[in-house]
Amino acid sequence: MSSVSVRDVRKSYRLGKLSVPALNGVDLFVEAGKIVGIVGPSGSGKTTLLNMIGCIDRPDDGIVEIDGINVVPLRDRELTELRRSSIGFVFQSFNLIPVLSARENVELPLIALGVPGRERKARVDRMLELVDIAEFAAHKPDELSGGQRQQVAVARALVIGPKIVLADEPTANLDGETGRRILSLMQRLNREIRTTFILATHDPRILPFMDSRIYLEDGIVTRVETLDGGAG
Amino acid sequence: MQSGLAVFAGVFIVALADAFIAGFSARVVNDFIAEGGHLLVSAPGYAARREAFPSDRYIPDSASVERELRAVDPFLLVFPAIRAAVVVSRGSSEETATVACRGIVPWSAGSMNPAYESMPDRMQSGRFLEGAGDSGMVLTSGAAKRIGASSGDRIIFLCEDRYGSFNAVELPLIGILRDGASFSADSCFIDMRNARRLVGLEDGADEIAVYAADRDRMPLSPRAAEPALKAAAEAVAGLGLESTRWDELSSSLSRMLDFLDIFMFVIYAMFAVVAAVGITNSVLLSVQDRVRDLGTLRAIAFTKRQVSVMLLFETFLVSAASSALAVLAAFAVSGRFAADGFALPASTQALLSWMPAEVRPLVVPSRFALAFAAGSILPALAAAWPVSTVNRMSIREALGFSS
Repeated sequence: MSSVSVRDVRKSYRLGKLSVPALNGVDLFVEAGKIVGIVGPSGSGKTTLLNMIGCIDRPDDGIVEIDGINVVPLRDRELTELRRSSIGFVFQSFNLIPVLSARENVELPLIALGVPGRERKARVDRMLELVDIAEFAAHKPDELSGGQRQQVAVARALVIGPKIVLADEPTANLDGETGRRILSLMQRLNREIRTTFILATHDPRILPFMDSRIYLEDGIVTRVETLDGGAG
Repeated sequence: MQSGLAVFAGVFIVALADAFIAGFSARVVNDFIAEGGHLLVSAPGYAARREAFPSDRYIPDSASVERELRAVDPFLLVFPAIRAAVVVSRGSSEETATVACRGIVPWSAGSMNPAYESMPDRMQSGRFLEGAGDSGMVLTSGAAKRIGASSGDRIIFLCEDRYGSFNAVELPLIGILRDGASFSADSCFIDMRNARRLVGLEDGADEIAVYAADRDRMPLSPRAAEPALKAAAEAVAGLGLESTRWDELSSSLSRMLDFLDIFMFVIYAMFAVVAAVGITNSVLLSVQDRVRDLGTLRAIAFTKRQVSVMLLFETFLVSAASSALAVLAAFAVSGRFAADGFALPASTQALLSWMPAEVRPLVVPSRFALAFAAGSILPALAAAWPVSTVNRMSIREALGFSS
């Protein structure tokens, strides 16, 4: 389990000669082992904020702490080490490697970590069982439904045993029923393995699954809601 | 896939072209050696003026030189010859022709002179000199036509002998030879005994062609012949004679082969540059097609170095597999043409006398291995720049996040 703290984070991007602000001094704290939603309309800075927490991008200013360690000054290699050991990603478009099977996609992070073959197989099998996709292990992504692909993506994110899973609009490309199923899965996994989930979304249907919601607008946190255990 | 096909095509073309060039060079060299021997033994200063028939420089006792050479190496084939410019006419006819005359020994110690092995197949009429004791003359068709001679006629030879007198010898025309590429259009071949009579050399010869041969009395390749030739040259020097290697005898041939090597090297280099540019482009497209996948890999766990190694290794694997297939295909096609030969147009022989009638590709394992190695490694080197472009991108850019 891992806590995340973001303090006065600012980030802007250059668009030609223009500087477009994406985050304008964001402060938030995510308690370890919770499911937290970052909620806001398109362009509010949700993905940028997730990228900062996920060590994919660096803020122009401010502090991002994971388990009390400020990750901003870390070098690229140290950030990669941190990502590969502590952070799992679930993307809106699943981002599975199309030429690899579901099993091979889940195996990828373990290969990068240098996990030996036998242990790798055992961990992948266990994870595929955990996300209920074992029977499709040999299927390529284009042979799977959207929901199944996202199940594979969740398995890939969790196989390294991360402290935090970051999911950017995980239900955006799924129908309502499948989206709920994926969120139920994340909720179950959160309870079983106590991993912190941070989800960026603008889909109001998934809000009941969150322990807390952080509302973002124009790069600023406008509201924080904390619920008791979320909707089951 | 696209770069794999390009590598296959490139390596196949280069390996096959190189096999043909190697076969062509080997054939030209072999033909030249077959015609004149690995080594030409002569009196000092003869070889440099050979084409002018220098009658004052000759080997007085060729038999003792032959014995000396055979003592050095029993596998040396030794054939003395006399060369002279002679005037020929048919009987009392006024029509004459000046021809380059060769007094030859078609057979020696049970072996046929490699220079004349193809002669029986090139006869227009009659026969070529047969066996060691045969006598008579063979004339090329152009000269025969000019003096109106046909097989069976008696031909008068007129020539200045080594003492400055004019000698005349009458010989039967035993055969007419089609004009060919390996000798002058106006040539004649007569047996050695009559040639000596004609030029007034009792036991002498103008030159001795030496072939280094194997146990089957087949001329060796230039490289394999090297030790025997070195020993023969030393023995000849001890006799006060001169020896000239095959590659020193024709500077134009050596220059041509050197030029061919350089030319082909330039062609291969240009081919490699064009291939490298094409492969760079192809890998760039391939990498750009997969930039989001590569961004995903970096986001989930892989370092830049791991992604680079993976892409370069992937390129190397595809290239190595394509190169291996290409080399095998080139080997198969070379084998096919090595069996049947590839006929060159007759016009090329008319243009260049040393041009062989056909070329058989020669598979040189080391050169095929080089083509394989280049085809495997070059694409991986060419892929380095496209791979570095992906690594210069941030993960956010690679994943396609706008902001």
